[in-house]
Amino acid sequence: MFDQQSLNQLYAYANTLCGQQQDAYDLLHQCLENYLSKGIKAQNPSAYLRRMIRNRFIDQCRQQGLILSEQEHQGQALAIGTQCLEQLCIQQDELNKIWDILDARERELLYLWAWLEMNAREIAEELEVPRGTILSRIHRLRKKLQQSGLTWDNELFMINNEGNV
Amino acid sequence: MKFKKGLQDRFASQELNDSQLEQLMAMQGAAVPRQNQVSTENKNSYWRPFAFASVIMVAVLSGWLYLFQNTPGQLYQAIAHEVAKNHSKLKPLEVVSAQMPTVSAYFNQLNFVPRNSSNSGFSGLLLGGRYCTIQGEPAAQLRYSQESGVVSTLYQVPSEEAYEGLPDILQGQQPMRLYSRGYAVDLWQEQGLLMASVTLLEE
Repeated sequence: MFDQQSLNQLYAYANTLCGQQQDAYDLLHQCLENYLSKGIKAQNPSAYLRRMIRNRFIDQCRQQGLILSEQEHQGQALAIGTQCLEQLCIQQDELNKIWDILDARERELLYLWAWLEMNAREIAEELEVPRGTILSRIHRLRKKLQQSGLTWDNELFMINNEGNV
Repeated sequence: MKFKKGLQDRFASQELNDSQLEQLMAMQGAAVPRQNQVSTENKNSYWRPFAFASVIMVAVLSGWLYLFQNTPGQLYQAIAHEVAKNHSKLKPLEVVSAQMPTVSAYFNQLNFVPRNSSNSGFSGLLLGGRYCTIQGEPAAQLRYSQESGVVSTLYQVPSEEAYEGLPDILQGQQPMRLYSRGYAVDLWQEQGLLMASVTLLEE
C-alpha cells in the first residue's frame, strides 16, 4: 500500500522523467495499476515502482522514436562523486530556466541525488549501471550547469579540498 | 541558495491534486482485500487468527522449500532477471531485417538456427537481432515491434537438462510467466531451444 507521501514522491519522479504533469500522472497510474493487478510483492515497493515507471517511460520514448541511448565516453574525466554538485549555487529564478535545458536522464540523476539523497554508488545500483557511468554523467551535468551560469560555493569548495584530490 | 535546496523545494512542490490522489488511493483500496470488516454473526471468529497464522506458516514453509530445494525455480527467475535487464538496455541491433531467413543467416557463430516461435501469445514485426548470452551460453536476441509500437524481445538458446521443467509449446503447454523489473517474461521450450520473451506488463 502506497501512502500519500509515497504516491507524491513517485509522481514527482514520473514528472522528472516526462517533464509534463499529465503525462506523469498517466504514467504513474498505468504502472500502479499493473503493479496492483499482478499481485507483485516487492521487497521495496517504491523502488520497484520507480523501475516500472522508468522502463515504461523508456519504452514510450522508443515508440515515439526518441533515442535515449547513451554514448559512453571512455577515458573522459569523471566526477569524484556527487560532492561536486553539493558545491553549486543558484538563484531562485535560474532553476526553472536550467530545468528546461536538462534531458530526462539528467533530471532523473538530480532527482535521485537531491530528493532521495543517494550518492553515486546508490544511484548506480538504482539505475543498474556501473558507478563509472554515473560519475561520467555527473561530470557532464556539472559542466552543463556551470555553462548555464551556476556558481561555485568557493568557501565550501576550498574546505572540501583540504588534503583531498 | 544551494542548488540542492532549490531542487528539493521544486520536487516537494510537485504533488498530486486531490482528485488524482483520491483515484490512486481508491485503486489500492479496490486491490487490497478488506481486512477491517468484522462479522458479528460469525461464531467462529475466535479461531480466525489461528487459522490465518497456520496458512501463513504453510506458505512460508512452502516458499522456503521452493527456494532452497527447488533449484530450477531459482534458475528460471535468474534467467528472467537477465533477459529483462538486457531488454531494458536496448543495445543496437547487429542485423536489421524483417525477414527471418536474413536474420537467421547472420547468427553463423551459434550452434543452432534462430527461428520464429509457434507461441501464439508472442507476435510482432521482426526488426532484427544481435548476439547475446543467457547464463553464459551464446544466444540470439531477436527484437520485435508490437502493433502498439512497443518493442519486445525474444531470446533463444539451446535447451539444457536444467530447463526440463519448462513447458513445451509444441506439447500444447502454456509458457511459464515470471515478472522482473516491470516486465513480463515468458519462458518455454520449443524444438530443442529455450525461448524467453520480454514484453511490457499488459494494461
